[in-house]
This record gives sequence, structure tokens and C-alpha cells, in this order.
Amino acid sequence: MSLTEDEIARAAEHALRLDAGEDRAESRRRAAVDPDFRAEVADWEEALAALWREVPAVRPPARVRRRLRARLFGRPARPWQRALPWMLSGAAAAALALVLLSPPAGRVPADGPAVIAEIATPGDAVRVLAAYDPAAGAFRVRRVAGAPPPGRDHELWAIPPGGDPVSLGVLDADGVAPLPDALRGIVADLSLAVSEEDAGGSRTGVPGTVLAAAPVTAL
Amino acid sequence: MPTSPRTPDDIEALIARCALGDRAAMDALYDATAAKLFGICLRVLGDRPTAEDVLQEVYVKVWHAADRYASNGLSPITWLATIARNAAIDRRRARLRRREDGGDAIPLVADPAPTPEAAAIAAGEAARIGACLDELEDARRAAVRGAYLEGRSYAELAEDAGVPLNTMRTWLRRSLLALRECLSR
Repeated sequence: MSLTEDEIARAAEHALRLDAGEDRAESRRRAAVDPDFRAEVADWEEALAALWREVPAVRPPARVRRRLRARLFGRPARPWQRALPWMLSGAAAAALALVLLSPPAGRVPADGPAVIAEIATPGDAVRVLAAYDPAAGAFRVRRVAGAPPPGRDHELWAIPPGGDPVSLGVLDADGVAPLPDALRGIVADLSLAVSEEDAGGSRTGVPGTVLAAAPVTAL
Repeated sequence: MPTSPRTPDDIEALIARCALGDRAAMDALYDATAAKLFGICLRVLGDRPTAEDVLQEVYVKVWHAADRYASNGLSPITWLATIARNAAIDRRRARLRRREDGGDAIPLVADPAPTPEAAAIAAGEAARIGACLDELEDARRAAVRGAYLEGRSYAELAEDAGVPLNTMRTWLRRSLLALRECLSR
């Protein structure tokens, strides 16, 4: 099976990200179902990536790695400084979860794990607590620190293991974020992330600037 | 700048360990590739603070996507470079959207001359695509390079060259087909 010239040009445009809107969505669908088209896009990516060899490597400053570690693995280990705030925030999160999750009188809690997550930037400039309510199939979310800059919004994302982030919606100071059905069975394996987006949330379906992420933990 | 002694197989092994949650592998992967990926972010974005921010995002993406690396058919360096390029282009375009009202276009970064080191490495693939690009007219070569190395859109490329958008699109598609014909010789 060979591709037409138009298809080859589309694959190249897709690799270059020259396509936009509906054209780009169409090429993405095509790449998902058509191995020839997908291979053509990959061939272009591979061929074009050779152009980076002429772009000089530049050593990034050490703070990038420090921030990256903090974001991926939590705050840098300084036990004497770390233990107390962590315990306090853990206790605060658990207390909040109790408040958020106490079922209204008469409602029978559904099966499923109750999990919580604390999503905080290093230094706690932004700190969001989320508690999953299995009965409602939704996270109760409270932003306890940090509002987005004017004209920007925070957005909450669920990240399944090995999957792409799924938007749970724009984040208010206090609110409920329903979890899509497909994710309810794996809620204990999710990570949650908070991103900063243009007002109204991500228009591309992928997070803009991820501020912080954390795996959920069982209560 | 010392070049990384890591081979593509080493990089691939580190990505596989990242997929298993191995933090030491993430550190080693960062050591081996951060300078290259930072160069890419800087090239697309043109300013250091934003490039630093995006570089951090790139490795967060790499960490979370590491378990999907094997299925995409790209070499490990291309995979990492493509993630960096995409993240940098996303940021660049978001910045352009925010500036649309002000009309403050981002200046085209001048092509730095290739370093002697880069020239020495320019073998295989790089030499091939370089030689094939050299077969294109100057303005068309500049458009292909601007699209890839800086993530410039058709609208921006048309403005750079002072031609209508559709003309640029026709040019570029023809250039890409010529490039592919050359690469497959």
C-alpha cells in the first residue's frame, strides 16, 4: 500500500505541526487507524529530528533539575524540615476528607475505595486537596492556597497509569469534579494534576502548564 | 560542552527503567539528554526562563509517558526531541495567542552558524537531510527549517516571506515532496 502525494504531504505537515484545527484532528485519527500513514509520519519525524544536530546543546542551570525532582518526587529530603509540615498537611487532608466525605443522612455509601490526594507546588504556593466520594463518583475538591492569575484558570486532571491526562474541569476554590465512568474502576491508581490554563480551561484537551501532580493515596 | 557518552541503546534502557518508576534512571536520563533538549527549547522559544520552565515540563511528560515509548517506533533521541519540540511549540503558540492583541510578533531567531562539533557530527541522517535541503531554493529551505526548528505556522512563514498564505502552503508542500523524493534516493 503506498500513499498518494497528498497523503505524504499531509503526513509531513502533521510531523511539522503545520496542520491545524480539523486537518490536524483528521491526521491524528488517520495515524491512529492507518499503519502506513503512521509510519510515514514517524519517518518524517525521524528524518527531520536530524536537523537538531546542528542546534547546540546548552547545559540547563541546576535549578531545573531541582524543581523537576521536587515536582516528580516531592520536596527535597531535608528530614528536620520536612517531617512536621508533612504530617500536619497529611492530618489536615485526612480531616478535610472526613468532612468532605461524610455521607448525607440516609444515603448508603457505594462500594469503591475512598482516596485522597494533596496536590501542591513546592513551597505550597498552590495547594489543592481532593477526596474521592465513591457514592457520587466524583472528587470533592478544595483549593486551600493559591488562586490563578487574572485571566487564567486552574484545571484539574486525572492521569491513569500509562495514559494521557483526562480533564476533570476548571477548578474553583471549592467544588465537585465528577470522574468519567471509565476511570472510576481505577481511581486508586490515578494521579491528579493541577494545571494553569487560559481562562475557561485548556482548549486543546492537553494540559498547558502543569503546576503540580500527585498520586492519590488510600484513606 | 561535553557530549554524552550514552548510546541510543543506553537511552532506551533508561526510558524503560523510568517506565517502572526508577528515579535513578530518571536522573541518569536527565544527565544524558537535558543539554540537548534545553538547546531545542531555547531554539524554539528564544528565552531562557521560558525554556527552563518548558524543559521541566518535558521531563515530567517523559516520566509519565515512558511506558508508551516502545510502541511509537521512533529512536529514543527522536522521541525525546519530539516531546521537547512539541512542548516548546505549544508554549510558543500560547504566547503568540496572548500577544495577538498587542501585535508584538516574536522575532525570527537568526540561524547560528553550525559549530565545528556539530559539523563533525553531521553524518548519516543529518548529512542526508542537509544535502536534500540544499537542493531546495533558499526561501523554501528557510521555510522548512523555520517550520521545524522554530515551529513557525503557515501564517508566520507566509509573513516572513511576504507571500500569501496559500502560496506558502503550495510551496512548502512541494518542497516537502521534493525532500522526500531526495531522502528516498
